[in-house]
Amino acid sequence: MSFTLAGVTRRYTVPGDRPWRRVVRTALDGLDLEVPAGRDLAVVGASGSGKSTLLRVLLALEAPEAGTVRFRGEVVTPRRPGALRRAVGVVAQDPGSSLDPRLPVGASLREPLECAGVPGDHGERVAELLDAVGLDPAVADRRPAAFSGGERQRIALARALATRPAVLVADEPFSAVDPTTRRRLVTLVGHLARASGTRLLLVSHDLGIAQRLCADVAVLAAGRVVETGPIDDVLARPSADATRALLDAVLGVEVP
Amino acid sequence: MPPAAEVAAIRDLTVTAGGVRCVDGVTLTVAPGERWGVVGPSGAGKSLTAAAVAGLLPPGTCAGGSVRIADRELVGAPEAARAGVRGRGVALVAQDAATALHPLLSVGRQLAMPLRRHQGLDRAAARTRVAEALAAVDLPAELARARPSQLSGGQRQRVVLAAALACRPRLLVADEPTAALDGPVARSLLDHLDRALAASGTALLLVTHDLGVLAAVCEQVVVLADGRVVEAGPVRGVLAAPEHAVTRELVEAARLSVPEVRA
Repeated sequence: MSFTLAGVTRRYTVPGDRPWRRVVRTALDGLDLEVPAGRDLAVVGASGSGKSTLLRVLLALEAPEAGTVRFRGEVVTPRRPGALRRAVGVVAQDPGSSLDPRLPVGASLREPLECAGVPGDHGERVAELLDAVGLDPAVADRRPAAFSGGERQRIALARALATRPAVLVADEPFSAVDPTTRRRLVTLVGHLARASGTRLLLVSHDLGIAQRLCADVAVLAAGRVVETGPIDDVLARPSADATRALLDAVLGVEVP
Repeated sequence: MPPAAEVAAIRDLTVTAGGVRCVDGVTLTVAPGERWGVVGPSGAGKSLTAAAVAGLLPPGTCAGGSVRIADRELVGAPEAARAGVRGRGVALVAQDAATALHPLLSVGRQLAMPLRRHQGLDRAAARTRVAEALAAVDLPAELARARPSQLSGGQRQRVVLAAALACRPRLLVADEPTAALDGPVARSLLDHLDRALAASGTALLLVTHDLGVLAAVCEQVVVLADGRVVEAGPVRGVLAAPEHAVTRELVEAARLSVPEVRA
């Protein structure tokens, strides 16, 4: 997928200790990250480590105050996203708010194809996408409210994959669904990414799921990448305190 | 009648919402200091069971059977009677600390509210108890002056926990207290919960769908599916040898979140 972030800094102004005061918070602090082509990367880190900001900057939705984001060698910015938009599909955390509540889900699936200028009425592709995520193509004329949270996340996944993107960016896609649904979604994402040759950039705080879906990991803490490498090695021999803290926080089930 | 030994006695509890029986005959006895987990998939009736035990069922629901807390029947009782049980008898920690706290009031005033309402403390006495309540969850006394927006998600949920424990209830009902928290923050909240319960001898009824959370703080578990108890017993035994398909599914799902670390 080949993203290169160099010295990226992003600051936000947030409420201070009095309603009329504001303080500046540095979400990304001179972050460097190299995502080579042909690898699946998990970005992990505790709350507030900068995971979501990293995604917004990497997707050229926001411009950093300092540093550059390159995609396939070209600098990308919100005004000039270049090849980025076409090459990337995005699944957000909350399927409740990522689908337009007024649109039948078939229309939601058709939209990215129309934006990409794909000719035709897309009926066949929509049916194929719904089938791929385990939903009956006949549900295309229903609105999101008619679906459960897990089904909506499947539809969001189908939408992200509609244009056959080179990269699927997923921001905590499994955290808003119950464990049983989560397990099925994890299997589905792994299966679909492999089947379509799409590379995965997964933001998660769940180390187990990150390890099952991605070969590489980048650990974020205080707006910087503190550790990166093959996920099996990093988890077996963590060198950063942040990685050890994440490992210590895993709530295991002691099952013989 | 002599006072009951148990903290909560739930007998054949049913909760009907919109004509659907969401909780269908749940029976459970919680002894003093016992820690029970209620697990199950979405829609199993976990949260409604917890709400019924806390006497806080949402409008439009209808309960049957019996929930006795501190020898008082909650099912069918008017709000005034249920309010009398809350505070000392039972207290609730809800899922989302951001909405459980008033955004404009200082932490200290919100912690003082249950103390003044349920225990009739005056301002000075309440202030002392607020400092104690904050200390019980490892928060500094100065935090009493802060507003919720100035706290992190983890600190906010600790404030909610402090508010629930401030009146020294015999039973704490916690509905997915870590659902909005991630990794280290969730772990730290559970550690605080564990220590605070051990210090006060408060019993626990914890609702979760995450068996990792269950194993971290509970000794006993009931598994719900479609509003019924399908399995119950000691946590270790149930996790080691799950009998019901629903329990096995939850165990598999919990394993997914545990990374494999090969030396």
